[in-house]
Amino acid sequence: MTAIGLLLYARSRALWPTLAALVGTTGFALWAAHLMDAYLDPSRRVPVFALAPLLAAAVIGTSLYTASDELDRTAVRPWWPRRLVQLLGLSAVAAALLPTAVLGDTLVFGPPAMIRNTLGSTGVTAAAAVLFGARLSWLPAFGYVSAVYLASGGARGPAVTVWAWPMQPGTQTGAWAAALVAFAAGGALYVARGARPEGARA
Amino acid sequence: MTLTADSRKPPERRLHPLRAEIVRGFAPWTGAAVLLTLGMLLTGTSAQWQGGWAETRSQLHDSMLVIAPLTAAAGCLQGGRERRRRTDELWETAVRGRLARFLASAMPVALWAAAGFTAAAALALLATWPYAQGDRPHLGLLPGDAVLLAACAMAGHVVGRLVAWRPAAPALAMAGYVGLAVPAMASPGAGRHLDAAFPAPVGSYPVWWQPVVMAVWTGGLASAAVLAYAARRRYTALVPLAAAIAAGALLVRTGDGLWHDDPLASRQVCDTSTTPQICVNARYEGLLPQVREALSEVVGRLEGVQNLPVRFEDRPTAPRHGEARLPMLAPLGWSVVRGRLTDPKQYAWEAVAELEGRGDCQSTLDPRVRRADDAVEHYLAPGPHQEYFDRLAAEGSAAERAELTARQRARARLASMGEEERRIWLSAYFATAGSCGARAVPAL
Amino acid sequence: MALDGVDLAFGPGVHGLLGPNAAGKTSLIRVLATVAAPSDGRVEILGEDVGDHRRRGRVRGRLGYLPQEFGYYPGFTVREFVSYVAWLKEMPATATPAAVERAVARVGLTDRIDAKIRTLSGGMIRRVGIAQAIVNEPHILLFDEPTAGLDPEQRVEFRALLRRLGADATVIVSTHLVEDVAAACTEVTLVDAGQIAYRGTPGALAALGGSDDGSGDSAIERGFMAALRAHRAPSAAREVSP
Repeated sequence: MTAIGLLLYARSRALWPTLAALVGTTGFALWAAHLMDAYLDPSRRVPVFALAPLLAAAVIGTSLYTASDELDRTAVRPWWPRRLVQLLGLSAVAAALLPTAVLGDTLVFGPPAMIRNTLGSTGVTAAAAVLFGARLSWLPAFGYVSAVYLASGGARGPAVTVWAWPMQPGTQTGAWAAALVAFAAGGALYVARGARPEGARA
Repeated sequence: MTLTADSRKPPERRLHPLRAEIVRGFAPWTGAAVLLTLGMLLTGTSAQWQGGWAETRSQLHDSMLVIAPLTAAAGCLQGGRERRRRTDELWETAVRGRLARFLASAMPVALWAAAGFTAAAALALLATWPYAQGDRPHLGLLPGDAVLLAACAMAGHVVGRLVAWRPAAPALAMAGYVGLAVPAMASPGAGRHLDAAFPAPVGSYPVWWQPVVMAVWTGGLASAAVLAYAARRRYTALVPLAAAIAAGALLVRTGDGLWHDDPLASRQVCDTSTTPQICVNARYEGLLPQVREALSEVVGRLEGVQNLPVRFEDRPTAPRHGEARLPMLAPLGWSVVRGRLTDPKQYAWEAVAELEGRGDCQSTLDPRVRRADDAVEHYLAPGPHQEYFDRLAAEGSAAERAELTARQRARARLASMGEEERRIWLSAYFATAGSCGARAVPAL
Repeated sequence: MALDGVDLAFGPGVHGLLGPNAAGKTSLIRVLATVAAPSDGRVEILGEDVGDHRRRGRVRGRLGYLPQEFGYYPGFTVREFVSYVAWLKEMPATATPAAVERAVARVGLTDRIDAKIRTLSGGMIRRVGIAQAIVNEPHILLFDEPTAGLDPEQRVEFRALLRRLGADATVIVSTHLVEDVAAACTEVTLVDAGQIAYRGTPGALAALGGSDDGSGDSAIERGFMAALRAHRAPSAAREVSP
């Protein structure tokens, strides 16, 4: 693909507005972390770790929308490498930008936890884009993470680190495993099938 | 397939024109999503609320923090429908005004969301009922929460009609989270009385008119938004707006007076047949037989011993002189799950620790006092955790093993005493309960 | 500005609005449908000035409109969608079910009346649009590009439907398909660049082309091109037939 072709492709996927929205999400995370008096008590920042990656995943999810699904199918080369690059690239940008809001405390709730939550939320959102379409793809992730946020307060038991992965500190292997599995499975599903087309025939 | 007049009779159906709006499309899914999310939330935390009516009420109300923004986002999605389906031009030629059309498409989502919440609340109450140990169901906050959900759906619908941006719905949900959670998390101010989703602590109850005024505040704001967008005479929006402002002012002015402590929580139900007596908070009076059962061995072995506290008390305030605190039954999910004590032996041991009263100075105790405490605990309430620590010490350093041997000797000494001698020893021992110094504790 | 100094009157019958794309046909139809308000001048429909909102409501109850981009709810069945439109038109509730069935029968979709709209083909969806426009037995029908998506057989039948509807209502059809106009309309109005270029019967329009061997594959197409040329030539005298 020539450079111009690549640029047009990026514009067709709404790359610039998505990147701008990711930067905006980072700004939101910065503001929220400041609001929670982050420098006093790292554990008060837990909402930021749950919500900011959700918003980034929602931005990525809505950017998976394609306005011309029928025309896309007439392309010569297969789409799955492009979808893979789009998903991985946007996830990488989000995973690079968001931790800048929570630099400081590294061990308990720091950049590793933020990256993990971003990957996990993006995976859930990508899978939802295949099932429900890009417009609604953010809903399952929002519902799950917010329910876990409220429920994990007093929960005990061996499986808590797995199902409550957004709330865990960055060192828990069970949470990392859950988030990575979500990212891999959701990403693979999206790359293979593409987002469900919207419109009257959907 | 012809365009000319068809003489066949179509199948007979006599249904209301708006039935399709209510039964089809996004609205029932919204209700299902609310029910599912709440269901997930409640199932995950079930150990902490099942069995306590006050805990159930608080859990249902606290979940508004999550459900309300999601309902607003659902309303936003529904609001964008006319734009997405490109029916807005066609509906301009309708006779029914903008307000009627707006309500026809917005009300189903609001009603289904409120219905989903009500169904989840009913299921939660049903789930608590078999395990309830006292108190009574608290339904006061439920109507206010249902109104909050309907108001969020309507307001979200207005946003969806106005804003054509794709990520508008998740952004609205996020704004909702932040807006509802900030008064709860940031330093407390007057704003928290206006926050309809402010978490309700388990022991406090609002005055009877707080849910009504809160409903006027949230419903008034949403109605003002709806009227300002859809009514032909836009100034009619001022009426609900004025009502909302009045309600908000009333809430802020009353401030902390809106909530008061549950009178039931400061009462207790006592069993006076034992020494010390056993009292359980009136909210969990059904647990009294189980607590007595768990403490029966302790109490039995303390028969005839002097210098014991008069009773175990279970009030929110600190124990008075001559009383010991009963090991905590609340919050649910730790000692008590679904109306049963999870570990009676552990509970008995905690009761003995309360009798000793040396919880504040565990780290600075003289080893002799520690051995005496351990021997008393072993005699009155032996438990699996003691075996665990014994095993740890047996595999530890030489000093730990020596300490273990000394402890075991002290335990054997106490167990081998005669009845009368042990009673005298225990009376002298409990005379020193609560003090951390080593002097007065009798030797073993 | 889409329309410039348009002064028209329509009576019963089928009127065709013809013209090149971006001529202002859709704007005119939208003004007549009371969807858009004119920036200057008066619109009187069925004897009522539609500037006042109450009168506008009454007029809309006797009006049927099919826009160029017909939007619908794919999850609704045909019956449900047309009933919904009937409710929006404030038809009496008792009369609605029968009126819905009648309208659907008139467009020939009776056997699909309980099918979801998303399962229908493009031509059938347009017929649903026609059905919702006629459900309230309107006195005025406004169709904007109604034959888009219909196959030739359906177009022929649609013209027959138009003629039947035009017997007792005012039907205004905006289209750029000249043959539709020739077959169905009793009067033709040619709109070009926001102005009225020609007004007359289809026969007179075809005669304008005459022996002119200009562009156009049929008589009426030649007449259409001739009228356009005449309108666009600034010095040529124009004759507007009443």
